[in-house]
Amino acid sequence: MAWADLTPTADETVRIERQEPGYVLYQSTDGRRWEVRGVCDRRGDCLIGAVIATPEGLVEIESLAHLAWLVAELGRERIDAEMDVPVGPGFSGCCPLEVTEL
Amino acid sequence: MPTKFYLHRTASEVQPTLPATNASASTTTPTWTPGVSNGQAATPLLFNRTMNTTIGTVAQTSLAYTTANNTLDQKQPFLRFVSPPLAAQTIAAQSISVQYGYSNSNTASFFQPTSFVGVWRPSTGALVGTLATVGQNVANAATTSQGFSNNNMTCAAVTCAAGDVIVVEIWRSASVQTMGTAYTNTIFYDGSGGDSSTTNISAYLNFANTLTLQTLPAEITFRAAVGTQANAGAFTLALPPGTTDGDFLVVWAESSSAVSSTGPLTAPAGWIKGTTFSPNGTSGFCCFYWAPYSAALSRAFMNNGSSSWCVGAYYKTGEVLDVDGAAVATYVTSNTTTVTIGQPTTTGAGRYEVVGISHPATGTLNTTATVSLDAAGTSGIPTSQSWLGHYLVHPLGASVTCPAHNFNFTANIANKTGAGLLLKAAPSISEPDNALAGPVDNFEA
Repeated sequence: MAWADLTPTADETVRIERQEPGYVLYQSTDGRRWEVRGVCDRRGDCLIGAVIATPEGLVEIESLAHLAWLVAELGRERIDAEMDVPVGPGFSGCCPLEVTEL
Repeated sequence: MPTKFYLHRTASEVQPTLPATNASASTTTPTWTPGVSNGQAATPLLFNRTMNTTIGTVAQTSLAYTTANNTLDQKQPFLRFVSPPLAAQTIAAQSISVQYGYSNSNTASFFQPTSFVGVWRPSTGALVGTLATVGQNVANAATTSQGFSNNNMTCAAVTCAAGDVIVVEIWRSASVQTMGTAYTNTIFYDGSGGDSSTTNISAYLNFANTLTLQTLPAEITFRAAVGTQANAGAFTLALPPGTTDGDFLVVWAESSSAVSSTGPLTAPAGWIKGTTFSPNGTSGFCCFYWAPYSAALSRAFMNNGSSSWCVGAYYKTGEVLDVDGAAVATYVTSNTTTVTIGQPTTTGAGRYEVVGISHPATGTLNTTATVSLDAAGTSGIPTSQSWLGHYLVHPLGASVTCPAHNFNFTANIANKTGAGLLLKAAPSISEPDNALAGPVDNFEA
């Protein structure tokens, strides 16, 4: 599929080629393609240490409690981005997602 | 015998031409031009910092970098360090290691630092040769706790000329994040806790063999400086760490009170007070004070108003120091972020410029490329703030007019003063350089 036909993500260098419940096929501008199986259960471990934009500037999320506070403070369900935030090959340490590079 | 250079936060004083802050000294192209935003935050400018054979004496410092929120290669240099000038020699292929602390805010950032090591020629401003390339040795992926690298590698041989320097850059390697989110990558260095401390690391570059450093003629040298603020009252002037007999002390002080021409401080006997400056004639009075240091020198000062001050120690081996003419000040009275330093002119060769900056308000001063800021009087009660620094180019030749160094504050501030004061050296009276061996030398045989 042409790049313009793919679904954008929060990562400007990655787009979604195909998406079904429990399955996403990503494509990167560097030519890599990978599929992710599993469901993000929003546990948030991958967001600890993330640097997000807030009205007060960039903020690093320090803990799950800080994340919960920011969600309430900013009034947003998704703290990092409204669009899909892709995980890539090698991802671990959060939701049980299986990433396979094609 | 190994040669070990410790990595320090202070600016390198090697002249005349070090690598630009917005470009790598290596032949590797960063993902973003240093200083340019990666879409999340500005990438680090590569200030030329010092590395030398002296271990750090204070707590470690760090540089934190916010990555781009993507899963592509983000090769980016974070820090650069420059050695003292080398003697002409061939650096043989040998084992070298670069060690520093590092961490990332989430392992999904997959931060694997690496380093570039090369030989740079300041006289031409060009890379002479590469000892180790970016990515030649990549450290293990960082954790969220501070660990330490050990980028061991065998370097290439490079032949250098007298005056060349070793340059080290610490990079994020080409490894990609496993999630498209911005995270923090941090490098720790310049601590006093030793090679492998995970809280106070003394980061270094080590060569297995001896590197011969260039022997330079003695010149006026900065030793250390301290700064503080206080409300009016008597106080004992603190000495910069390591001050010894024969050092030359320079105090730069400013008062936010209307202390007029008496100046912000009253110095005891043994000190000389310079001209009092004021940006508007009614406040922000500031001036230099100086004295040759000995244990007998009184440091019992009086603070005449809410004041800030910094004191620096300078020396030249075998000689005594004095000022070379009066300080020259410029003022910026308008409510802006800028301040410019006055431009004294040398009356002879071998001079050294000390720089003082003040304003009677709060505000944060940014660093500038031409001056090392050595101390700040910004951590007390009054709003008066002072900084003391020195021009990175030295020794200065005869009849040289110092540049109009420009500084920026992070916010608009009125009534700022910037002053330059020149130091000169003369042979010590107790150690004449043409001493006669005895009375008989006064007569022909």
